[in-house]
Amino acid sequence: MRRLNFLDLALVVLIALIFAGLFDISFSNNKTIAEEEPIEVSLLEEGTALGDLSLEGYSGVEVSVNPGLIQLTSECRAIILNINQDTSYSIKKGLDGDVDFRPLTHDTIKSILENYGIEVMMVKIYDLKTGTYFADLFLKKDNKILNLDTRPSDAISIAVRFDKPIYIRNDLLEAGTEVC
Amino acid sequence: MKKAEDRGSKAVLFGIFLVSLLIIFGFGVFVGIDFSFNQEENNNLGKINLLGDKETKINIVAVDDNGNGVSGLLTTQVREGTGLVLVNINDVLADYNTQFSARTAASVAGAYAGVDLSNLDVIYSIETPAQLISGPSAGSAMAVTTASLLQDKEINPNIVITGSVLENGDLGGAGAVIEKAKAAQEAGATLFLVPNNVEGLSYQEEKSCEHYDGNEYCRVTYKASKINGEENLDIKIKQVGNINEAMEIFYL
Repeated sequence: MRRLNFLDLALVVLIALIFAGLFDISFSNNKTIAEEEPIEVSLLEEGTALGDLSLEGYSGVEVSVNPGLIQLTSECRAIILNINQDTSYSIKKGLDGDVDFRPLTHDTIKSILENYGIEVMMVKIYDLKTGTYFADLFLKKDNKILNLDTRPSDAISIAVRFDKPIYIRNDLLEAGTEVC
Repeated sequence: MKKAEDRGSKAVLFGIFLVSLLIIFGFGVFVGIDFSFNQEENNNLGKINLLGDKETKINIVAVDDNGNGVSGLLTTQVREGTGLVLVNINDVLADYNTQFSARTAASVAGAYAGVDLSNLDVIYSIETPAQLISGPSAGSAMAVTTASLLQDKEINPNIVITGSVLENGDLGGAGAVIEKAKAAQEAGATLFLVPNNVEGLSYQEEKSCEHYDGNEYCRVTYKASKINGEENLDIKIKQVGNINEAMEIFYL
């Protein structure tokens, strides 16, 4: 049998790469959003009426910010929220871990929470009504949990200052845009 | 024998080569279809030729720094051009959100009227006592006036609308509805249109708590009192969900 020469091998490698590339395209299009590690909620027993704390049907997101815009990204899907520029600046400062010459409102909120021993647990973005997103901010102190109805931009601005997770309901994320 | 094996080997490689070419061709066709579909979407709108510049005016409302409702005048012009959307800052400065809402409003109006704006310029001029206007809530008024010009139809001057407009034509949020309604009334309007998601004129904090074995879980929400248009106002307040609903009411 004839030995394969260099050109034959190159052709085989090329074909293998094409197949690998096609497989990767197919795979990435059908990628499921990875389930995040559930946060520890030791305070309350399972089976209580605290479905609000469940992360089933939610995905964790990464936050990036531009003036007047927040992008929340999970895997290859993202949603973009239009917010006011002051809040986008505040989120950027929170992400950078910077404090201005004078503290912003969310820096003050952080100081209040820290000094009163209140822990930020997470943010859940749970609804979208005529272009307005709705979020819950979960706080915890001792054996008490407080769920605050919050604007997503404010909740995110606080959460990033404590490096706490931000979750969004999967169908809201799916309605966003493909970014990969 | 060796030649036969060589021929066999070459035939296999040639076969693989052909299959790979077919796959690449198929992939190219797939990408091409996708691309041409997107192009088609943009070509659904027709171009119109204006017979000269067109202009219309509408009252708009806002709140000033003290939280009081104030009225202003939005003048929208459409002229032959190159697809520009301009916010006139001769008399008043406009912040990022207002500029963004102008762009969205023009796009929504074009989609509503079925008109391609690429050969037209849309110019928004706002007259108000303020030096700076901010926020997106003039977006719906911008969209309504632009759509009326593109369709060459008159709008009812006794109606005022507030609320941002979204790319899909839905109306977004609006704040300070009661103050704006008062300003609209003072400007002579008889009907004030607000977005559907403005659930009420005022919002009250509500707190509910549950207890489990000495643990406490509380939730704080904000509930709206429903709009009924009778809060000492002589102007009727009506909710609309999108630009289509608004145009039906605005057209004379």
